[in-house]
Amino acid sequence: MRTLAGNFIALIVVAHAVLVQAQTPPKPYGAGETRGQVVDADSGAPVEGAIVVARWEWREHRYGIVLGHMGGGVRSTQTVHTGEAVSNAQGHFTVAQWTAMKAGGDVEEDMPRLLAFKSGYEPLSQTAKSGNTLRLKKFAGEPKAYAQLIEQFQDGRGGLEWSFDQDSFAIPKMVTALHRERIRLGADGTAIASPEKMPNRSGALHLVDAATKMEPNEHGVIWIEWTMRRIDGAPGTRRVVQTLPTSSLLERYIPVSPWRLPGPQVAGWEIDPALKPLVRVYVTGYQRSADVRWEEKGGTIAVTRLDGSRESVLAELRARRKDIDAQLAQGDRAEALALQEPMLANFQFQCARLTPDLRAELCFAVDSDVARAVYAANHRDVVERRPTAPAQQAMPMPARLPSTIPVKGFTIELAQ
Amino acid sequence: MRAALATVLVLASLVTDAALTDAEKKLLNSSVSVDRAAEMGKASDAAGLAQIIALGDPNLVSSFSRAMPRSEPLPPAIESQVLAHFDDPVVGPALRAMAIRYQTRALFDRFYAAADKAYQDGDPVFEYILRTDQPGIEEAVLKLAPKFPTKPGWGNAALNFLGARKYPGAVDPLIKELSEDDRGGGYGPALYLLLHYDSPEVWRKASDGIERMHGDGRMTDAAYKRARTDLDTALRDPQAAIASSHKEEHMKALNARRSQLYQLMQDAARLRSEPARYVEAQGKYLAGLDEFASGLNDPAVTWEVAREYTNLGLYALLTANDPKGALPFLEKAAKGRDDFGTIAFADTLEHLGDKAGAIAAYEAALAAANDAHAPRQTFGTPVPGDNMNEFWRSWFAAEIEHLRTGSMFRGRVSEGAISGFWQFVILSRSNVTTYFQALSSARVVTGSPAYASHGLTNPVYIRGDWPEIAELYSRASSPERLQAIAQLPASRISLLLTMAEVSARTDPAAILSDFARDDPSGYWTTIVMGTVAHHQAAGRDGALDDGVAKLVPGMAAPGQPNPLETAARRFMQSRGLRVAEKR
Repeated sequence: MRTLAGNFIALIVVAHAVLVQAQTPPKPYGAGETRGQVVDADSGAPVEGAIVVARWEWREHRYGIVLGHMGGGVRSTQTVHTGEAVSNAQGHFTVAQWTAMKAGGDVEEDMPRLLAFKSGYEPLSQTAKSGNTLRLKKFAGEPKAYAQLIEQFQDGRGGLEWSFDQDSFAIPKMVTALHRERIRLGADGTAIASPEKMPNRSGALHLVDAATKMEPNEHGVIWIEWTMRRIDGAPGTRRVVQTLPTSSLLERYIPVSPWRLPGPQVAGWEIDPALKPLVRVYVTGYQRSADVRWEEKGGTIAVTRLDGSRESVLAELRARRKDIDAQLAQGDRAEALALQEPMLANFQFQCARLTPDLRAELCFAVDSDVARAVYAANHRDVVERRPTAPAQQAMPMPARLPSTIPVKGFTIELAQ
Repeated sequence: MRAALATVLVLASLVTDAALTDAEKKLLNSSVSVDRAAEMGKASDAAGLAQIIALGDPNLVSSFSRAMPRSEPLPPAIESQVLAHFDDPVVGPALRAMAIRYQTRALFDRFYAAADKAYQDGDPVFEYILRTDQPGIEEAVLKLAPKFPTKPGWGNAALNFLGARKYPGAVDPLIKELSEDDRGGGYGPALYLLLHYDSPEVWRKASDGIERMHGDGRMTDAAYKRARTDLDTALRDPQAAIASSHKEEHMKALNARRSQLYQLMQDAARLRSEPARYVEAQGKYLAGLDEFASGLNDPAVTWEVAREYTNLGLYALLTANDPKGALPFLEKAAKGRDDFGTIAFADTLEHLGDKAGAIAAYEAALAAANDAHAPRQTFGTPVPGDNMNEFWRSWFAAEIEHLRTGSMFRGRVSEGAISGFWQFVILSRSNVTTYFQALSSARVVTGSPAYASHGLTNPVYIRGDWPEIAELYSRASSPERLQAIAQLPASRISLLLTMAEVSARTDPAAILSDFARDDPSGYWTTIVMGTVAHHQAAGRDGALDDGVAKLVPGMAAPGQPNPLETAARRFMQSRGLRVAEKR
């Protein structure tokens, strides 16, 4: 057991280390353009379209006992600079020159570390010591093994420091490429870490009651207005509203992230992660929230409880109906119905609590495409969750028991 | 909460030795416990309710409310308090829930205003507002109907309420409701209600309505077919449809009265293990039901009540061992034309020595058995093949003869009567054992005997084998059983119950003595002994085939002849009777 005195000494040592760091003046660092080539390891042919990340990794100075190291310096998850590039038709890539000021350490030896990825090849990580030619080997194994390899590339030793790199926004091309790979591999790709795992990118939405500061107990729906871009890179954007139920997730927060899968299912389009979505929350029994321009790091949305009066409840439902109608009126109705499914289900659920006259005025009719979509969604869940019926076992039928017959066949007569 | 507060106040005064303030003293004096509130409710104590309302505790209001008698309309002094505190945010909800069978238009109007403002489907006001039988509210209820919750298979409660009142304004909405049938929630009550308007004009309108709705696709084929069939039947013979409708309404009214008397029924059920008190309490409940049923003047309703009188009469006879006490109930049962009640009444009179009364009762029973055109065929129909009727007629005649002349039965018994007797024994025995727990493994049930329902599981319908009969014999001949049957009064109903044990006695004379005690004329004994003699002569496995061995397991007793066979031979010889086998 540590003594009080021991704790005190440790505190002094750590404080001293921090002090030494703080007292070291920042020094200038920099590098000219970093050029190289990506080639196929077997054929030597250039590989076009590979994403190359160049990391100048940082070694922190520590004086004292910090994290088990005595004096000198320790490897950190930081970089002094991170850049990225895409290889051209000849496999050549160029990472731009840079300069920076940083204190408290030095750049590691043999920098930059070059990390390359192209779908179908094994990811590669090497330092400048190994040269600037990156030889990518084609991957020949199972998809799940490929995903595990990528996961090693993300967070393994000499990797991208996916979960720790505070400068994760510096590699948007690599982030997008690995995200697309995760989508491409589907269920086999779950080992690949989502960008949500990167520092400050969880998108966590904390929902609180404005009065109590506690989480509301009622079900709700998150309304996210994304800006989409074309997957093939062609110009043009479109806005798409995705709705998510707040009750289907067990976490204490709800992730609102462009990287969350499944995203809005719009053929040929993907979320443009560079453009922040508008987020709004609808909770049963509460006023809908104000629109919030959503940061990738997440945030808190406070909702105000309705006073419970007929007027407030109906006014809120009318506003929601208006929002839904506006969405359904845009573009492809089937697509909108699918995107609005949680919102519609929540709305219909609240509608079912109304008196029939109000339902007729405010809600979607039972034979409407909305009601059918909600019904199908509710029952699809049930069907999907239903376990397979066990094989029927032949049960021996009990032998039929013989029945009695009526008493008959004689009379009672006088003896003579 | 208040009790806790009072306790705290008392404790505080003890600890601090400080004097209580006037307000604290008042609170302590006025404190009402939950049990006390229930007592006040049971007594419909309006002053007590006022005290509870003043305390402002909704739980006490609910306790008061739950204990209130449900059979009577809401007393005016209580209804006025519901009205006065209708909107009270604390006790108002509990008071509104209390308004069972409220009576005033003023309270209806308050409920109406609340329902009109309601926006939630589950708002209890939609239930409360209809808890009244006051006239003149139909138009207002119809206006509110679109707001009422509807459930698949249940329809709209407001329209159901109006339909039950045959309100003309509800006909069109009810016809429209038919389009909701067969849409995943089964069938609602609309068709039933329309048919019970007892109006060919309404049926024609409904007929046109379903044609229209089916024609334009608003009604499913199955719903249409069902409505079409029922409406056609009603329109083909309106008088028959109306008569049938009245009958149903009477039964519904009877059941409603039963619900109103629920508390009395429950009070009685709690006393089931105390025979004398149970008979008194159940008699009180039945008197209330009977008074109502008499007003309806419907034989079917009268019979329903008669069955309950039979139950009580048999309980008084067998469980309370009080034949005299059973007579008034059995008499009511006989008047209501319940078969079991009728024979129990006549037989009990006979055993009590009321010869004239017994003759009259048997004569009435014989007349009923001979009447082929009575609205209710209490003892079947006097036609060939109705063996039970043949048995009734021959036994009643024999018993009347015995009562008049004092002579024992000595005569012919037809194959049909023998067969009918055993049918009756098989069907009845299980029901009778319900009234004498010492011999029955059946649990005590409060329901009426239901011959048809237990037939499927009656063990006598399954052919046994001799080891099984030997096991039955072993149980029936145990000293405990013999001791138990000795407690029963002399009665043919007792004989139905104890036939197995009597047949298992080891002394032929004791067997005949027991039969003679319960069956004064010996008619039943003749059939039982004749049947034993028949199986003895024709091969005893026949008793397995027809189930008689299970009813008289003495057939499996050791000895050749065994005691039962000896008793049968002696009996037949003493009466100068023989068994004639049919080829």
